[in-house]
Amino acid sequence: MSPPDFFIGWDRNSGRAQFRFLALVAAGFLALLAGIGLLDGQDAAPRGLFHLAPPPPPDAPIDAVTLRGRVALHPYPTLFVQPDATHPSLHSVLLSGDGKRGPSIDPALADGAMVSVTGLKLRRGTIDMLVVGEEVHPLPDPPIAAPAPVSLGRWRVAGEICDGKCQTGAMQPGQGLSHRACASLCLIGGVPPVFVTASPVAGASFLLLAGPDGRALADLRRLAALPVVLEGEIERRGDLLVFKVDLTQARVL
Amino acid sequence: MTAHLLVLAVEAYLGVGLVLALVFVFALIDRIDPQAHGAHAFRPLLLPGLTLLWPLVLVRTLAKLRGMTDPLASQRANLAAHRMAWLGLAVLIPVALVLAWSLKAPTEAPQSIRIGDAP
Amino acid sequence: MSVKYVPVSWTTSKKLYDAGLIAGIALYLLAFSHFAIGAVDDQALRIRALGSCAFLLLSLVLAIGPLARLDRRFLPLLYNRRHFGVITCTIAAGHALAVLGWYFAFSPLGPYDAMLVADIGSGHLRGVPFIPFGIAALLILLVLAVTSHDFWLSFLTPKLWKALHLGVYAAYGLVVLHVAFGALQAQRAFEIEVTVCALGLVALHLWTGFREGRKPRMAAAAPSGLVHACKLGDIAEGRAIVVRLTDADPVAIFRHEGRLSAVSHLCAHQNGPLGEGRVIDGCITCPWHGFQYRLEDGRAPPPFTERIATYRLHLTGDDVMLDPSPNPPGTYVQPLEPA
Repeated sequence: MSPPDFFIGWDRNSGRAQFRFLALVAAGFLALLAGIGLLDGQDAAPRGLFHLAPPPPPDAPIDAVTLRGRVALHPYPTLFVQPDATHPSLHSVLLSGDGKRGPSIDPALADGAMVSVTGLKLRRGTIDMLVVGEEVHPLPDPPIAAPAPVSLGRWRVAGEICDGKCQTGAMQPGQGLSHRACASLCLIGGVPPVFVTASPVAGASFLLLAGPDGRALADLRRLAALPVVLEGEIERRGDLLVFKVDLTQARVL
Repeated sequence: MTAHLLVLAVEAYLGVGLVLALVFVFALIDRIDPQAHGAHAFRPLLLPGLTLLWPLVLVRTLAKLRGMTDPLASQRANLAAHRMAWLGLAVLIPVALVLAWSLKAPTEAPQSIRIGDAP
Repeated sequence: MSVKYVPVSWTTSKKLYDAGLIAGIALYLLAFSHFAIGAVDDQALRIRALGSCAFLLLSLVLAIGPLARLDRRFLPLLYNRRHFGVITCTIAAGHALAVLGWYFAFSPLGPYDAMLVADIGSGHLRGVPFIPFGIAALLILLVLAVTSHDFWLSFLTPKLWKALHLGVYAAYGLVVLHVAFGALQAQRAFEIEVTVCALGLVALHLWTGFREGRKPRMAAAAPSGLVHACKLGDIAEGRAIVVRLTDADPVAIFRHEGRLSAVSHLCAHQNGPLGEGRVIDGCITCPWHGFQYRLEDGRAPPPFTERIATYRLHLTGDDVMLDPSPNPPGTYVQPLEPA
């Protein structure tokens, strides 16, 4: 039998004062956890270090669509579809595969071939992406003209390198440091890199990244999801802006 | 590639550990700890620890099988380590927090500017 | 304490303790996810909820030790601290699995390969890879959780077990780095929790350590080699005074039915502070887990088998003198009977 002021775990008799104290501690513990849980849940979606505007939730339910158009393989697989009522100029749609992968492209497919692709359409702001689950094959259709590249000159732009897929709505959040490893993984897998600018360039806040030669960039893991300043030529292709950057000049802020 | 080799090495380590753990709970534990005699329900609980720490388990098992007696209870080394740990944390934690605050201070984003014509 | 190991030696207090813990965690996760704001995936929300909950639990479990040193009424929280630790590790592992199943899934690489190659750092303080800190902390917590059964205490010896479990402090430092370079860079509310918990915990430990360090230590007097422990009247019936030595482990001198016995201050179970215990049913009883020892030989009453070192005492007038060299654990020493 333990004395009333001495707690022994295996003895049920621990005294009233001790019991009252423990009841108080337990109530405090429960209130503390509920309170902090409530507080922590009030964090809005991460916005990255430039406090970029958080991406709005997808503005339409994600539906499967079939698009026909001209495929450009460089810098990253992009589909250009004929202008329509909503898109007065040649409309670009970035292509990606399922999960953290680029689209699966038939090796025989030539740059500029006409294709028909079915996939889930993601849309965020001015940028569209089609998630294509199947391999992309050529069509016998007559080709539509390639978008004539228009140079907008050399620019110095601040922003964050994101993967085109999460940024267009596959994940929430799709930006910020806590998403950095995930974005790097998408970029390794071949998802097109999108530069989200801190201030708009020629009316656009999303630029497709490319190397100075207009080809895909090598490893972007060091710079993904950080506030960076990039320099290079910006080129308009249809309604898509391509930012041809030299990563050796990149500066982390 | 290196990453994959590392994952394979960890899997191999754990594989060896699991085999030794099974040998330990079935064949050795009764010779090492009298409180394990006739007690079986607790043994599965030991498997993760035996698997994870198998080199240490091996060393302790050999010492026990050779009948080495344990040294007298002493807490002085641990108390000193405890003190050092908290003095270390008392430096590390404020430094880490100050670093975190300074890194997350909103960065003034320079305006996008056109710096020249295309080459 | 048990003669035969069982998976968990349940007592009513342990059941209440675990129920309170699980209720608290359920409340936290509910409050977090039910009232969460912001356009965030359910998976990302789960990652955040489990991660921030694990941080809070780890901070709280590390506060139990110093609180129990400052106020004895917190000792019952220490009694089942290992369950608290295992549950904390489970929540942290849930956080890690949620990350693996979302941020590191759906890639051409396996999730573990992906975790190792995705985040390589930026060569700048911004973008220091924070995930390795989390992995290292979780590994430590896993080692502690899987060695929490009493078998490990006896197999590794309390000294080595304690040394291993001191790793929890390294884990806490790593967790602070993990959140400092990770979640804190994106979350505002969590920043308040981390700052208050981490700095509060440091202050609590430093204050407790300062108080403990001020307790006087005694050196053996030459040439007899004996230590003047206390006056005869200093020890209350059924209790002990603790003699802290300058170059040896502390000794507890108990008074039971007027007679004095000296034993190690360290319980054979987890090195708990025996000298702060009581004599109950004729046995020294540890304030941490209630392990018991006979006064005269430092042996646990049968059928239990634990033993602690005993010491010899001498009386010089009113002065209790201690021979600071310990006898082998379980050695019989005739209790000192004042005339």
